[in-house]
Amino acid sequence: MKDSDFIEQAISAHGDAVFRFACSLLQSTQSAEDATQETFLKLFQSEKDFSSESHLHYWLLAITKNYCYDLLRRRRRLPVLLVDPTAEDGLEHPSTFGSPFIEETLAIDGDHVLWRHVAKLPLRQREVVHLRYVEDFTPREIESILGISGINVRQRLSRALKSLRRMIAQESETPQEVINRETRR
Amino acid sequence: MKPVDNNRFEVYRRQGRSLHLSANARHRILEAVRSCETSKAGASPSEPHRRRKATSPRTHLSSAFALKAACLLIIISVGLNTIFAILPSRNLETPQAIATSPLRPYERIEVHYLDSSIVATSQEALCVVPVTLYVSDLSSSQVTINLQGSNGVYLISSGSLPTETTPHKTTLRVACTILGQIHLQLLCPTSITREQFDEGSRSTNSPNWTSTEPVKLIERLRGSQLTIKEDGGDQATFRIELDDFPTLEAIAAQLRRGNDYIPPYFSLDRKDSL
Repeated sequence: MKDSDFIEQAISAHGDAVFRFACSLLQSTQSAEDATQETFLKLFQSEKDFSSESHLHYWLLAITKNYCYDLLRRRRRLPVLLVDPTAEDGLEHPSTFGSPFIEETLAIDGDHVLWRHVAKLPLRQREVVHLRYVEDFTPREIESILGISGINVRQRLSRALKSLRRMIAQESETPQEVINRETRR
Repeated sequence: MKPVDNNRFEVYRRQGRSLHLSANARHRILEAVRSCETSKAGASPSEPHRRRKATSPRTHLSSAFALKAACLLIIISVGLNTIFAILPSRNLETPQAIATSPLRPYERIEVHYLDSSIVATSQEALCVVPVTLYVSDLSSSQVTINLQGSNGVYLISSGSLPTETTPHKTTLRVACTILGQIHLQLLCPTSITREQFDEGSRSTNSPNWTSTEPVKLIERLRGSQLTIKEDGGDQATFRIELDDFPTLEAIAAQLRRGNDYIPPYFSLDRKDSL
């Protein structure tokens, strides 16, 4: 078992990346902090030996992904809406979970359009987009982290980019162009 | 891979990178780790490491997994059912096709009435009627058939015609198909003279004996017994069931009931099986 000093060093080195990945998947800073805590607790309890820093980094991201998937699966099973005591009506709607996070949390002002669109992507595409374009991992590294094939990584990326192109194109359409598109259908 | 827009992705990357784990969160995580460390050390310092039990065991299978498992179970069940229900019957060569025929009795003699003929030798005119026996539980490819109490009806191989030298046999060795079908011909002398036969052959109208002579042949089989003996020694004896057809007219009506697709038939009544 690792000691607390080892965990402190690991948090300094990898804490931000784990938190960012959890934010991208869960679209909530509070949930992402919980996910980060769970991940490092798992590291503390793990008896695994890591051959390098990058090995540890991949392992932490894989654990984060699994925890986030479990959390989202549990949330989906909840029969009622989540209660947020700070909300005006006492209810926080899961469908609008992402938008306050994007506006309030991202430090750099300006165009948040891509974050909004990425948040609408399916989870499996979103995780690949985050690892590729925020964490700058190569497709081969993403394969190792997510435990999927290279073809699968490229396929998910390709589909995600296609969806993003479509969403951006639709957002920049004039009302007349929208009418024309709907008429063509 | 071509990005959507390099500038947009650069902004996206910088915005993503601006997310940092807060100092409070770091502190909280370390506190949690330290409390774990303390509780572990206090609990059993000399105890060797044990595999940690799951704190929240899964009580429900995920729906996707359950669906896959159910599909797999159904496929395996259907496969096993197919293997154990069909293959043994194929291996034992049990004539399931006959058994499952819903409109006909299990064991029967089909009379190919429309293919019956009158054949003349120098001595006599003979009526030849092709028949097919359907018998269950035969495992040999060759069987020996014996006709007892036949009242002048004899057996001849399927496809052959009687000649001057053809002996009148009541015992015949024939082939049996995997479905328990035995093809052969029944033969009996008629009252037709050679002159009548020649006259009938020259006539443009079909002589009426081709319809009446097979009826008489079947009537001769009343009370006869058919024994089928396999090479392995097993044998079965049948009686041709004519109780429902007491007169020649009734037999004729039954024979005319058939057509090209469904030949007329009479039941075989199994007497014993050794």
